[in-house]
Amino acid sequence: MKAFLITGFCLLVIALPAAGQQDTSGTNAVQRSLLLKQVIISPAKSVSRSERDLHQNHLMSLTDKILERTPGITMIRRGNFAMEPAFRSLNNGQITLTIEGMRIFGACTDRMDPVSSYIEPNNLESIALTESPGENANGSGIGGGIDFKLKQPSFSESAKTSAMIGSGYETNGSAFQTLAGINVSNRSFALQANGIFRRSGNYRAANRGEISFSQYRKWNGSISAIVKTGGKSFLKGDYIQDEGFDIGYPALTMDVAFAKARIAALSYHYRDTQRHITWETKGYYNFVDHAMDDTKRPAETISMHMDMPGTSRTFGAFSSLAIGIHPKHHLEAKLDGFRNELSAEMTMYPPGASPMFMYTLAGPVRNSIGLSLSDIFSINEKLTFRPGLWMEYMHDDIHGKEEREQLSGMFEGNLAESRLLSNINLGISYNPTTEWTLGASASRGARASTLQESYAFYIYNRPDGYDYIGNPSLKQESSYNLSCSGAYHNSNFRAELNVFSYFFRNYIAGRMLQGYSTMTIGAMGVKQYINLPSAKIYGTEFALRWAPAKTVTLSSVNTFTRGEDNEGIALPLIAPFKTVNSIMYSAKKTIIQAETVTNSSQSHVDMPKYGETPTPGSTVVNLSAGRSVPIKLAKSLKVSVLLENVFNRSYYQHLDILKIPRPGRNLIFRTSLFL
Amino acid sequence: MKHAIHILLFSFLFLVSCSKDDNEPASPHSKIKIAEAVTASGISVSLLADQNDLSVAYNKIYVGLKNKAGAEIKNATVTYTPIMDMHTMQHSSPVEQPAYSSTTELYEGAVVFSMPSGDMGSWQLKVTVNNEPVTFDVSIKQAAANTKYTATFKGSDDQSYTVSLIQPAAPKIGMNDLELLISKRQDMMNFPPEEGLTVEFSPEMPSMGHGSPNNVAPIHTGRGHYTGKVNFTMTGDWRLHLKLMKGSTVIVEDASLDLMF
Repeated sequence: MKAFLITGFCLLVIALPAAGQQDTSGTNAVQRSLLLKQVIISPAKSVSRSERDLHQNHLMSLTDKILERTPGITMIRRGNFAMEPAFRSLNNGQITLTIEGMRIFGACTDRMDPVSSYIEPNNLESIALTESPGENANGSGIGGGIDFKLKQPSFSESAKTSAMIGSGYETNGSAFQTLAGINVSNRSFALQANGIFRRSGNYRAANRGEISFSQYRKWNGSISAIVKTGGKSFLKGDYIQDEGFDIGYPALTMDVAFAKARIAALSYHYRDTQRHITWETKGYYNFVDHAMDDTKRPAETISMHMDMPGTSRTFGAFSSLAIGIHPKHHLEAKLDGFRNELSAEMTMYPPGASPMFMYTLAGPVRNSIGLSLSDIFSINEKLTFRPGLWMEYMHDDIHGKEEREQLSGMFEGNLAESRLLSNINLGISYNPTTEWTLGASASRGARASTLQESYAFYIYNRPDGYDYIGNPSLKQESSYNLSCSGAYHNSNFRAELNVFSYFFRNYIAGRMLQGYSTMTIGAMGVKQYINLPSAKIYGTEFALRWAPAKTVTLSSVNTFTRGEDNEGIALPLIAPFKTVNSIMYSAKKTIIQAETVTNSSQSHVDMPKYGETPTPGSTVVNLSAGRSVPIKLAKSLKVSVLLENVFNRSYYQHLDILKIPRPGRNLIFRTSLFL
Repeated sequence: MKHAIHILLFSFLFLVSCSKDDNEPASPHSKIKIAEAVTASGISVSLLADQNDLSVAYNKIYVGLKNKAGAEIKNATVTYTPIMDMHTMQHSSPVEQPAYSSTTELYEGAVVFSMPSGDMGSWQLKVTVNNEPVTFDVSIKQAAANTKYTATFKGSDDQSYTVSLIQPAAPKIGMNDLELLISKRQDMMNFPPEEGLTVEFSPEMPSMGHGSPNNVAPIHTGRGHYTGKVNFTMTGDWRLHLKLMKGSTVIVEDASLDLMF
């Protein structure tokens, strides 16, 4: 049954014929996602009102925080902003990060600007997770991907206008957010526009005082409009602009002067509910402009001033077709192509000598064309099969004469590389009774090295302290993935268990190069990306949800991952056992929640090879309460109060680069007014 | 459209005529004339170089010869003798004697000027054409700050070795051809090329302390020229560290040259 959720909500809607059933399954989609799949941010009407209220006030929280709460996702933290999501400890090129199917790549060579940093919760309808390659129609990878689904305005029978404004304040770091949104709709046109501004000073960690260079400032604006072009079709335009300024990265040697993204898409949608056909064709463009900054740091910590700007430009288009051949059989096909151009450079200014310039990414360009085919069919009421296939042809090259000349000193032979990648998946789910769902899936994932892994030119990696050099002739990293799941539910209890494993071939990792001198002052040495013969990652996720009374829900989400390379040495950036336990009281207009977030210690680490040290365990308690207040002249006023890290614990987690302490106690107030 | 073609055509003709004006009669080379003199027998001697200024470095120097009638002389015997007059003493410097090139229609040679003109002394270049000398006063500019394109080192064998950079003349980021001239001082007036040395080589950025990978140590390719490869990973100041060895005996531990781009 879970299989249905994976391919996304719209497919589900087509698959199930009766309107009444649609709603129920929609509700299930939310409630069933104890473990992964779909994180609802701006919920549909099917969700209970208090739950929706809770979500609506979360629009002011950072996308990072929403991702961090999602089971299976762990965040690599370099500062108080722009954390990098990892899924089951798979990260970077191993998973795809897309915005509504659009490929977008950060411009920073130090991974300071993951895609998620350019998206705000109020841009989003939901976050969809795909755990298997082959099922992921957005690209090739080892572990599926995270797709940020943009808000979808909808037509209405009569002309409607609604608006909301909101504002929030956090005591820790004097963080401030304010946002506003408007929806306009009628029978043939609908528009949504949103804007948010947020600012934070340096936060304070318990017992450790103020964490310098943890401030940030940003705004994000988005507009999305649909115009009916026929009884079954409409055009959709999306534009998001996100600009961050003066962003501190306490775990790195430099901050960010600005990080800007412009994301634009135009799509044509055709929906024939009678024949169960959905067809979407989209063209898109995005541009990311990023500049690091060391001018705010104390002079004694800067050995030499440097400028490090970078850009990323992506053009793409795709066309996807979903057909419900039969209520129990539907097919989806997608043709997808994109081109990504990266450029990053560094100029250092030594005192009394001429400036030193080089490209850290010397104009790498990736062109790709991919085809996805997936099928879901039920043999009978109990047994469903989900075969999926993703094939991708990829060509990487270097653009620019100077760029090629620079790399001529580092790499021999042809710099261009072509690859054919194939991801295959077969999933089976079995429902012996209505209470039980059992599932298994086997897949083969493969990914190309990222352009950084192919062409990095002395890119400094803070976690292990090495300068990295790319390797244009890296073989594709591949894996065989096996997973099993079991779920039980009755009217007030639900339990789910997943066990998963990834067996890698040609795992991409850094290996020390002897006799190379470092470029970055203070670096430990130089590493080059190579293929390790093998590696493995395995783990489990376990979740419980119990509603002893109508208004009270207890839940527990537990995740554990372990990784080893071919020599049995612990892989880096693997999160330890994590358990999140909460109790929620939700009445008609009031919602109160208490939760504990516990990370066990991580001692399965390796210093000599991957530069990691053990991390102690930590437990943090969070409280939140929200209430909807009736008010004149408006639909409602929502107020919420959150107290994070109630006991002001000093702590950090294993994926926190340089183990910078996380924020201490933080009291958050949020209000939003719906008009 | 027609109009545009006219403009294009016109500007093309204009450009062509301009370039003709600059170089008098069409010239097979693009060298810059820095001096001119006439020998006793009336041969006119033009001295040419790649740049306006000669500097403390390995300088390519060219000579064009014409007889009284203005015809090119292609079969003369031409020699260069650089002379540094330091008031109390005179010395010369390493020279590559010119040979006639039919492509440029010039006699092509090179001179390593080892110090700048100034209060210390002044440079003359004596050009001998078929045993008839003409002497040019030449002004040698100091190399730019933080650069050292030629330098002389006292060897462990008590001999003086002059190491001069020939290539890269226009360094770029990435792999560059490296070419050096190594000469030995025989006496004050003779600096013959030194052949058969073994050279160990590593570049370094002095302001950063780092080097670069994939360099190829220069090996002797004839007439005291040593060629290899140098990889500049970035622009800026680079120091080329050179260890000169005769067999396994280290002659000069660190014969470094500096360049900047």
